[in-house]
Amino acid sequence: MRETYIQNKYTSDNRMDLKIDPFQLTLSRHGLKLKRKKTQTLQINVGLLCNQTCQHCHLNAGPGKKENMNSDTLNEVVAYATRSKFEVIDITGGAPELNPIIEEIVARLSPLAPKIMLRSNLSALNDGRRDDLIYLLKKNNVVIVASFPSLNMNQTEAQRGEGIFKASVDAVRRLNKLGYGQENTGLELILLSNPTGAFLPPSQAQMEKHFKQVLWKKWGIVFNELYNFANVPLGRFREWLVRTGNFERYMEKLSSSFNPCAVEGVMCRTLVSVSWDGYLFDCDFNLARDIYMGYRKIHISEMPGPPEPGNSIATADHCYTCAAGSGFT
Amino acid sequence: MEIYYKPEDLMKFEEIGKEAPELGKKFFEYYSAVFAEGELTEREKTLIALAVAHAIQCPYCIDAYTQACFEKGSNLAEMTEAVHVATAIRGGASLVHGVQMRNVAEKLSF
Repeated sequence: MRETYIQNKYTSDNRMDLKIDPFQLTLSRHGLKLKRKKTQTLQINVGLLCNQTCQHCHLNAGPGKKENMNSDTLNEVVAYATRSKFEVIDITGGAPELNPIIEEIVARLSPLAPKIMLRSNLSALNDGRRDDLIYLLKKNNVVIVASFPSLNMNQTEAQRGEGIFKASVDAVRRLNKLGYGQENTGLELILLSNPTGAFLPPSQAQMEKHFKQVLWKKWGIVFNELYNFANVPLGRFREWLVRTGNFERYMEKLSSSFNPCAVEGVMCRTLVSVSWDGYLFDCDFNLARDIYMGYRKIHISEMPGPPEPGNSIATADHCYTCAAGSGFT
Repeated sequence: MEIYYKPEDLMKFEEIGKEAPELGKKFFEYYSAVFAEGELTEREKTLIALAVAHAIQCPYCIDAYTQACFEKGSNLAEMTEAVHVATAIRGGASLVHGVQMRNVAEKLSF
């Protein structure tokens, strides 16, 4: 009952005149329940500070944001990761590079999981002040997951800001020189492409091939894999959708693309997300909406280990994004 | 009818099968098969469709295939070039008929 009440409280927020069914109802209609499997990934949002103000950002990250993980919370995160033994630790933001203690974060977390990932917008990583961080990432074989939305400069910069396309190409070129994205170096560079507007992403496999051909031919740069993620209708992206009259059509597009098979593989089933101030969420999107893990506000210091398999996952309408088409991993 | 073209009518396309369901079914099956990956990729096929949409000046098709091109991974520069291909063929088709004009003029002239 409590769960249903809180669920309604959150999912009924700001639905405007949406003609789509609430996500939870769609799950029920397909006989599905969103429950946790074994949690393998700890995603750490180290703060909202960013040098860019991207149109698609679900967190409203940007310059001047004060929300940043500090050493006290990092101590709690390190203790939690130590007692929980995750397969993957995924460091995200904002621009994680701009967190004042990012080197300490990377250095202390790297020994705690077989795979460490850092999300980067590339321009912050290559701003001329991150040599020590880049060295640390390479030394610890940290996988860099870098935003690279489009092969088109104008579309990229419409989403991410003026000058970002060239800055991104320059950053990838520098990472390539260090061995990132090159075969047999063990230094993995993943590019992440978000649509530059109110439409769904293309097939990942086809686009990876296309990106590899074009980036090599035009710029002489390489990478290992491409991820295509749909934009989540939250934060700055939602504001843009509403302002431009695209909101209802986009939500209808997401809900009509609901794929029951994609629910099996959504990331929240195997991931737990921790905010810069140490609270737990089922994913970074729920974090953006303050919808706590399983609808309960729990601080990382209170958690004995990973969330239990079978636990319920908090949902809202933005969850359509991850269940659309081939899904969102 | 205030306007001939209404965006919401695009969503009613399948209703065209109501009075001739077998023909409608065959058409939509054929349509799906045409756009499936074959020797050409789905991305290439949607770019061709966008170009043809401009050649035949169908606002429904332009709306649908602009979105489809984005969703198949084409960017605005590629889509603009595709429209220029349609324009070149349409323009060229007019201009090449100038040869007929020249033939007639030649016959009529000293």
